[in-house]
Amino acid sequence: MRRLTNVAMIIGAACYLVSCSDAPTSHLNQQVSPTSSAASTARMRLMSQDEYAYAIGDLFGPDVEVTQTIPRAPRVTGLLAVGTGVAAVTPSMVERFHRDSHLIAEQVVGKARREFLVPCKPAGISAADAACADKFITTVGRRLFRRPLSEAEHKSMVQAAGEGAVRLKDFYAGLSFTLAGMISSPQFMLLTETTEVDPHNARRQRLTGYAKAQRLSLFFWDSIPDEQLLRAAERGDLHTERGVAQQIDRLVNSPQLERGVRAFFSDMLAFETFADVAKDNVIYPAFTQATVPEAKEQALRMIAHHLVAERGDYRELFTSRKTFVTPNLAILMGIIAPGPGWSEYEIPQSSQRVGLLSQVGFTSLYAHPGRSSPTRRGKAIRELVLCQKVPDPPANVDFSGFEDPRGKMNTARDRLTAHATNPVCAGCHKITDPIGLSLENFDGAGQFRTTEGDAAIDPSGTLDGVAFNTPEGLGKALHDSPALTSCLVSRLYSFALAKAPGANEKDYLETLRAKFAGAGYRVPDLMRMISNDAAFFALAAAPTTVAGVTP
Amino acid sequence: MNSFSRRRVLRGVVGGSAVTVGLPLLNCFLNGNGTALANGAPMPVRFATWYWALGMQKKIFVPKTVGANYDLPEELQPLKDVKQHINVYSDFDVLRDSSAAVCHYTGWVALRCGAVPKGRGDLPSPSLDVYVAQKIGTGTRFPALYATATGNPTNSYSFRGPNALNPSVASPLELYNQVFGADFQDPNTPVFTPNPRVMVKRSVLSGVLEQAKDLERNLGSEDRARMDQYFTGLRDLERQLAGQLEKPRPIAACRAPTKPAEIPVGLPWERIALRHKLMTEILQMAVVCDQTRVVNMVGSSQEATKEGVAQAHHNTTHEEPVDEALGYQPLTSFFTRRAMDNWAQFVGAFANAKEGDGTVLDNMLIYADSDQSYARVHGLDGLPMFTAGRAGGRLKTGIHVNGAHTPGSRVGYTALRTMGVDMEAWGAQSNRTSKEVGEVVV
Amino acid sequence: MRILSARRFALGAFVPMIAMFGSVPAKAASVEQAPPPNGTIAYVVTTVLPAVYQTSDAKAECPTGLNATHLEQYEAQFPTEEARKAQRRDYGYFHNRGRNGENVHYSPESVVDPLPFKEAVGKVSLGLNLDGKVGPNDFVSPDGEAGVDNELYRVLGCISGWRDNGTMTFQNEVRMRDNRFNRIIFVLSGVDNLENDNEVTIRTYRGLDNVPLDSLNKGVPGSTQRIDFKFGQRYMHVFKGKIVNGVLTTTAPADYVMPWSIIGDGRFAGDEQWYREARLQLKVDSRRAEGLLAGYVDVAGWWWAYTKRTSAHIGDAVRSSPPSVWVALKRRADAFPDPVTGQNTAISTAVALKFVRAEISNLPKEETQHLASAAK
Repeated sequence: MRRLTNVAMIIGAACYLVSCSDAPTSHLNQQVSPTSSAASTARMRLMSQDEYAYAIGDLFGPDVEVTQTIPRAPRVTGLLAVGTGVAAVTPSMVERFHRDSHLIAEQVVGKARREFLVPCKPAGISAADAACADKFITTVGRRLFRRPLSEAEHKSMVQAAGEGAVRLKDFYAGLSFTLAGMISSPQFMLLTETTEVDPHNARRQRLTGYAKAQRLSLFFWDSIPDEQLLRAAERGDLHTERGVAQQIDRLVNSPQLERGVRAFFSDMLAFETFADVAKDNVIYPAFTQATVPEAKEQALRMIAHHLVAERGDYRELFTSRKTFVTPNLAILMGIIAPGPGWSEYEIPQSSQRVGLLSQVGFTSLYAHPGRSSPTRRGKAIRELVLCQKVPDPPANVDFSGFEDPRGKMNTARDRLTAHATNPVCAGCHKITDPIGLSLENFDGAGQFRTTEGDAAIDPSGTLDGVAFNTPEGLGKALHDSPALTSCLVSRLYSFALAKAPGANEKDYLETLRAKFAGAGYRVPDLMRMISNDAAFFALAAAPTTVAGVTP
Repeated sequence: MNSFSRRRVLRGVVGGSAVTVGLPLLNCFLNGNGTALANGAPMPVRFATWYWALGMQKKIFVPKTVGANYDLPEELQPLKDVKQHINVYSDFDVLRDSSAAVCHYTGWVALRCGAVPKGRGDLPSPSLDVYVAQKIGTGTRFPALYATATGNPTNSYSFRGPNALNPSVASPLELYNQVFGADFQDPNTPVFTPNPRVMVKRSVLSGVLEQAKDLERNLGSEDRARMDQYFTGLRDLERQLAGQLEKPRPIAACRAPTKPAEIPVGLPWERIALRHKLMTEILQMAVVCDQTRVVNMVGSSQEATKEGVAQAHHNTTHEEPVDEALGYQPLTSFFTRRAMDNWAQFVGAFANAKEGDGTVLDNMLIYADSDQSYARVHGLDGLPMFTAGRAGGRLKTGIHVNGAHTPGSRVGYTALRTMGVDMEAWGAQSNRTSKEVGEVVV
Repeated sequence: MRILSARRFALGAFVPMIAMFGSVPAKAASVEQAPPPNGTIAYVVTTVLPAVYQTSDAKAECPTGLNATHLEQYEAQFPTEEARKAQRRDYGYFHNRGRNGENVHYSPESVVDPLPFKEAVGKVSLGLNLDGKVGPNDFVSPDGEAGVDNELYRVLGCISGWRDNGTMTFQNEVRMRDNRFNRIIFVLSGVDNLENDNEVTIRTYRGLDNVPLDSLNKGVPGSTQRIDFKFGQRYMHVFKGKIVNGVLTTTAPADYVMPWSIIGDGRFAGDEQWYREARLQLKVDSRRAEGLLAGYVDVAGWWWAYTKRTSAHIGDAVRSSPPSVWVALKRRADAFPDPVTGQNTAISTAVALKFVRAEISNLPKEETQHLASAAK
């Protein structure tokens, strides 16, 4: 069997060039190598937009409106989650955090919600009430900071709430300002981990139970720990195998597991770039701005349904015919919408729209505003789905071979073939295009077509030597590619720990992959395996050298 | 686009960009000549950056004549009303040394921080506006403002170092709320009462700062540095709140702009122009009202679209044939010209804001650059740049300078020196320079 | 853009429209006109505009200018500030200016407007020949077809609210598109050829779903619609027709009830126009349809839906006075006389419709029945 590497594999060493016509819309989408060593005794990362929204929703109810937009972290070794470990916080971001925390706090203690969210009534509404403020701050603070408040923190906040109440002659205003202070504090916004001396080995540190609880909830729920997890931490359960297994069992069987799975795949498949998708109104009138979130949601529903609800085989996601549609998506798919809103939809055997990559989401995301892009699609599959690195394009490329009179070039294949006759370009396009061309039956808005202009589309392609001539064939080739599952294992592990897998972890990942295979490639089982292992709670290894930036 | 916003665009773009601000600083606060504040301090010099994507086509962009009274080739025609305020810099290069040039990245990173990135994502050192903001931005409510007309907050060309891009505000409404929302204090309000809510905010914040200090204990050095950045932000905020508790200096010309409507995301060029117009109005007033002294604006997007055209701007640069009769890529040039419309609008906004005997632009320096020169081949030689404004009389304007293939970082260095950032040299390796652009320095 | 397209339609009628379709290359046209699967194709309405022919300065059709507004009539009726004060003191609102304070929307005969009503004049109007005759009162269509019957145009043609940019034009266009109550669906069946077919059936329905709009607010073809079988029975009608060179016309007129909810999305009873002997003339292709619905609309029903739902709710926004319009309607009504009084109860008219293709998720059996019979 071919030796697999689980870290990003640089393929085609001779290849140096790819087309710059697929340059990113934002430089933040790009791969950044870590400049922070993973050497600290405890990790610290910036909360992501979704984690923030889920945390607030879990704590105060999903109807509390969250306007906060946390800038997305740089993509490091394939994941934003890893980037959150190096993302810096600039003063303008802190100002924004502060502003929005007040909007949330006002809702929480506002008239409509205080009955439910503030666990006591003050003696008088226009004066301080230390006892009631104390009760609120203790319960909410513990959840927000994912640990009990320190005595000093607690004292300072109860005092601030009291001073605010006196100055503004309003108990709830004092509470609101204090809550906003907590939400905009680094204790909440930065996911830090606390350590303690390991009782089994006084020379070593270990994560506290609270830090373990945080790792678990972020991984499975994309959110902060709930009260049960915190209590398990408090009791010391998370330092026992049985206690950890119990909690993992609870997490993996909870309805919120879907959030964790969605968060991971949104990150792995770079779905944050949906924010940049806009299609030309004249060329694709049926793809409106209302379609964009639905295209993304379609992919996520398909993923969540197959992997979580059905506990399906990950590989079959690429050959599945079970998807979800809205009336807007139905137009692009050329079908009759089964109903208003979202409906499950079984893709008929006669249709070529097979697997995750043929859906509207992927095909429209990796395309141009008015055209498909085999190169973008091929590159995305290589990099995101198979963890293979396609080199960055160089500067000062001569594109003269590419702009041949268009009369002779009817299809994307024609254009790319002409492009690839240029030996400088050929190397990389050989890596991306044969994959992407097999999806050419889907135009830039994800609509099925058999012709481009008047010319028939030839959807044949290859993936690492396997030939196919339909999108279904591509799905099957991916299904059978060993890189598909090794990539998933590597990325999910990396996501769980918010760090890039180290070179010394290759064997571990290979073992994990074998166990994943043994479990029928069920992703929730893989999540269980990853978290139910000493490696999941391990503190980072001692510092070696700071990783250099690789071009 | 609905007819409402189209009309807005037409009115805004075609109907003239200038927003005239009629009133000068209250004369009692100026000296007799209107050239300085009454307490003898010179008028504050303000700083701005402006960015546009995908460079230019030399043949129709670079003036034929060097020096004053330069000509305006086709792509610079949009500047005709503000040309006297603008310096054009041509034939300044980015030297990439041993690093691979990363397309659409190396160029702007090197111009903004004087050093070539090692790869995509690398931001070697702070961008020049950060140094300027540290120098002149600490006394105002906002040390700096960041805005983009592209609707995407990650479009920013200002950064504090590795992984520390300063995100942009991407919606005019959000920018308005940030500057002129509930926390805005009209400097001309006759009676000033410190806002008790601000007092409470400030005291809560002091508590947060105090308690958060403990957090650093556990962290490694990299994380500690990031935690420090968070503290810097909190301290800035505390200072900002403290400032709001003091009576502001009256500025007669200060008027909160009209609250803009929400604009949908998306990159048709008309929508970018509309966002740019609305944001420019807000930024102009933010400067006039002395809410900030440093503004950063992203004026165009490489993904801009034109109705009915399959490729976005970026792809046209590579794929559009050079028109044989014209000798350039016409569609690509269309997008560049729309960017230049926005540039003229940005400069015009400050040129039309009166201050003392002159205009805000007289006491301002705007630095503008792009990511490539000839985008078709990802050119890094002859990267186009502009400056606008006389920076309180420290710079000459209306000049075209040919850099004779010296480093483009010289323009950035000139800007830094002009803004009073004291550096003997700036940049790294071949792009390191200690040579200002003498042609424009007074 | 909305306003432009409305204007183009009103001014140029079929000539530019056909020219526009005609400019499509022949090859593309053959694709556009491919026979629909199962011989069935459905369209959903996105735009309904009153077929009010107009020139830009109105001189040709309204040589003495546009009509006085409701407020102007009121001021003429109560010429002094004193009189107006008394009216307001006694009856509250200017609408209540009947002899005994009646609301003139509800009782249009309770007062006679002092200022004269101006009807549209001239020979040109949009519409169809409804009676098969070319009479002295008939119009000529903008593309030269004689015998056009459209007496309602005489009533509405010089009211600014019914002209381009007018309130009614806007309400008709936007509310007919946005209010789900008004979702009009036409299903063509028995179509062997969308270009030429000597026998097709047109069934009308009311749909239940929104029509997605592109970023220019134009309807997107291909969306799914569910037919409202529960409350939409009264909108189900059958026409027989034929297609000649891509233009569908009815071969026999039929009665038709059109939903017409301009306020409140179907919250009021009677938000309808009742047509008798309705006819269609639609340019059809595989993505869109566009053209005229013409017939004799019931005067009382039209008045009920119009004045009580619109005028009464939007002050003087239509810029017309109910008593004048009512009198003109009765005067110009030209068909279906009341057997007792002899007063005509219906008036000839037309509306311009635009459709986009729709997919129907609950198509009734009869729409594909002809297939079964063909197979036999």
